[in-house]
Amino acid sequence: MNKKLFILVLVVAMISVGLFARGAAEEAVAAPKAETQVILGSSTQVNADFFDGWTNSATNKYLKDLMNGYETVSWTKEGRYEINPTAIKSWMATDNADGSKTYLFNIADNLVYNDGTRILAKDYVFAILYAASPQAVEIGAQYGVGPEYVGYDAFHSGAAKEFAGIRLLGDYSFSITIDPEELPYFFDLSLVSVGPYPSHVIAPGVTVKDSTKGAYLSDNFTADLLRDTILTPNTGYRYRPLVTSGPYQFENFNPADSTASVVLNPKFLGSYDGAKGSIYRIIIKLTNTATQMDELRTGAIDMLQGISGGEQITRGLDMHDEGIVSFASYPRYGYGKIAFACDFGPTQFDAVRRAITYSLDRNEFARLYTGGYGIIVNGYYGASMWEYIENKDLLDRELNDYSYNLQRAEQELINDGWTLNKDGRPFTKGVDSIRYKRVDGQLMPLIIEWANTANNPVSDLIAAMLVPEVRNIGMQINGTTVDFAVLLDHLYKDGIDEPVYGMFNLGTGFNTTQAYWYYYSTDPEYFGNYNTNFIADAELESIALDMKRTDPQDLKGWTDKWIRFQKRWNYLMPDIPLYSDIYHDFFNPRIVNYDSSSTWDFPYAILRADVK
Amino acid sequence: MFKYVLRRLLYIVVVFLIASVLLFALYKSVPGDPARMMIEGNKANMKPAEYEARYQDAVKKLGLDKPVIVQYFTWLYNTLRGDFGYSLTYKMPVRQMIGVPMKNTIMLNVWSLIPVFAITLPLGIATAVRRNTRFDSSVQVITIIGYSLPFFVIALLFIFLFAVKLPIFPISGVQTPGLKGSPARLYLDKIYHMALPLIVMVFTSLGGLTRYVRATMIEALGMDYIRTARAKGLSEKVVIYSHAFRNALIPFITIMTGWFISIFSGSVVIERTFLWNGMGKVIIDALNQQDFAVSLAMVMFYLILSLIGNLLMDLSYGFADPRVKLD
Repeated sequence: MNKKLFILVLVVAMISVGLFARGAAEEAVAAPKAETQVILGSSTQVNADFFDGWTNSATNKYLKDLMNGYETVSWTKEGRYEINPTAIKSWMATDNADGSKTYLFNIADNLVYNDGTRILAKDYVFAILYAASPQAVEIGAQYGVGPEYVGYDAFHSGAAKEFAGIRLLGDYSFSITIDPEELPYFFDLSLVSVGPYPSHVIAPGVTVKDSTKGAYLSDNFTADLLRDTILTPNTGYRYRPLVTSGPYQFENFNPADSTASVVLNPKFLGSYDGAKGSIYRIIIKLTNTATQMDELRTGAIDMLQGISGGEQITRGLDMHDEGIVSFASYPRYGYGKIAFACDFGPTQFDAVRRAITYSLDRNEFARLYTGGYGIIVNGYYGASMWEYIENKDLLDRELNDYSYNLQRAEQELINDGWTLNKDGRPFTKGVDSIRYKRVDGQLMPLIIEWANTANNPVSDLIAAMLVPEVRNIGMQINGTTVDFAVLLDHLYKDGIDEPVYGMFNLGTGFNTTQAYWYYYSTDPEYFGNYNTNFIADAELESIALDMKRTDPQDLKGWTDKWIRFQKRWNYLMPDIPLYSDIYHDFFNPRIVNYDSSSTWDFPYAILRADVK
Repeated sequence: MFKYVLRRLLYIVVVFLIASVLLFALYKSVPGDPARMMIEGNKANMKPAEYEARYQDAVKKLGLDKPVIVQYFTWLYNTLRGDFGYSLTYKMPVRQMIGVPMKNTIMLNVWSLIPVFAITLPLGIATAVRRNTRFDSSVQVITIIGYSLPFFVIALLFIFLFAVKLPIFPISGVQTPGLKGSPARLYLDKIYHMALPLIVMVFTSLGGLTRYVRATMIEALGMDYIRTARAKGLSEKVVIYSHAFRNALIPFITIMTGWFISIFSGSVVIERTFLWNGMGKVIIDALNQQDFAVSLAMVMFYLILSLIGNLLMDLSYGFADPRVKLD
């Protein structure tokens, strides 16, 4: 019996060795000396993608950001876009007669990839041409590069071989011309932020050429070539980008437990501010929320980033009190919200939306949901935005904070004409339960259909804190729990012939170049995917378009318009911002100089941190 | 026998086709727009025309522009060729992304089989033989605890005890991050990481199996032929292992079939708690993220596995008990 058991164990061991030995052998490389390392725990799984164009995992993006550098335009800690002086020796912006704008860049002549290959202007041009090419689409990649440049449509569709707006002007010189339709644009520098791609790795043998019609790629640039160099499982550039330009270089991805690591690139010259990184190795490891604090306590990981929720934060702060961790905190670049459909039913009237806002004690709501680690905002902004930070007092003073007040809520409804009962007679409080308003000759009841999702504490709080309150002012909110995909279908009115829901609850996040003019456009083309409120307010749109047209150098002009936009938005209330979390980063005290925020997240902060 | 197997294989094909229609219809009826999900992440600041163009590309790529019946036959044809579709979450072919989790699941489950059966079989037999003794009662109490407590409670309790309070094992993961060394060292590190989930799996499996073996053995030991065997003067060891246990095997084979299938299917709770990147986690993530190509492929895979498992189970009955005729 013992002999049989021994044989059985041996067989199983051999099977499992067979399953894993290959991967293990590949990963067994000599360890560099004198290493410092930081392990970031993340509840978002790292996947196999380390090249843009496919998945958008936040944790993968951290590693991609660390591996890519020498971009023409950098994002700064102050929340602005600036020319990167390490990569760009000189540059010039020219306003052309046809309304387009050309940025000419002369790159530094001492830039190299981590494999020692010199970085030339053709690598920047290649990055644009590759991402905008029909061949990239053919292999299933998705990029947002190029639609703003002159000649994009013709090049992207394959109608033109040359990309008219891109020129390769020499070994160290290239230019990008922005389409007149996009201009003037306050964030126009962000449009010409491009980094180099190693063309000798991604498209070996392909040459980047230039003619008076624009830059183009040689005929041997094909989808088959890209499939081979990018998509080959385990070895393609998508999965193992071994040649990169940033402060860190790819080291390993272990698909067995979704752990990835990057190590310092000794050939990197520095970011826009000269930061090169000092921590040798950065690893991202999957954690789960139930045990992540224990992993930090036991030293299995060194850092947790973007922690929200009272329970987790309290555990982290307790560990801080014990001297086990340090922490940084910052407000979220977005908020959880109630979103209204502003094109039909009672929620099409801004007075109704204001009445609902007055009926909710948002301070208490945020306190309960975030466990005390959250704030509320009163406009379409995150508390991390530099516009808010610089004008906080003014905004806090001038924006309506909609403090809980049922009298004001009721008054909003009365002023808006919600004064009738179901028979068309004057609404009598205590007798009638629901207010009506005559709209286009018909009586419209003040009944709002609300779509929410299951197992969602925000939905639970709305049901407990808002739904009973509005009954006191003659309003009724009917909640329906639906799948999130269904909620989105109704929010976007995607395939919905007859809209049902006037109210939704979900979260939102901002971009660093938030396109206010898309999200509040009155053009029906933008309704749905962008303008999810379906709000058609000419004044709001006009301010947004005015913001877009601001001269990039005119910060004051932008700020003034931004404040005007917030005031109008605050009056219209297409959404009710419910809470904006205060995120916490907890980390081992041996990590010093780690200074993070919502717009200066892990890749930026860790690059400038040290390990004691 | 040959005819029986052939008939059963035909039956498997028919069941597979019927199930494929039902499952495909079920997944198609789930709300949500896979094409939108595919491109949603790239929407930020994309102009509506560009978004629409990419949306149409996604619709075409996923074959959603074709009638449902065409979609079904395309999917079936591809599945039979081993092309399980394209994962919306991982943006790669399903076949490419399930390899590693499948390996992890098989490794964990195969390893767990040894201690589970090495403990439960002798323990079940011993408690049946020493029925109603203090030993039997003690085992009953311990096994009922493992049997009745939820998986995740035991898992979290064991993590707290053996990874936090007594830091013997790692809390989660498959390997120490950043570890370098020889293949043998890396392999041992994997075994070390596997230890705690394995212990939890064994502990939670003990109750059910031990009690099952005990019950079947008690029934077998009460049979006339056992009395006859003893009357013949056979040793107690021969009576128990050659006569009683062999006859107790048939119900046990049923259990074994379930275990055979579970080798490939993984445990959602264990894998999520210990972050063991296995099939249970992949399937639940696929369902949560509406990555239907993955979940549909895996459900079909387990369906085939179940059908084959059942066939093997029936064939095993014949081998275990000569009285069973497979015709």
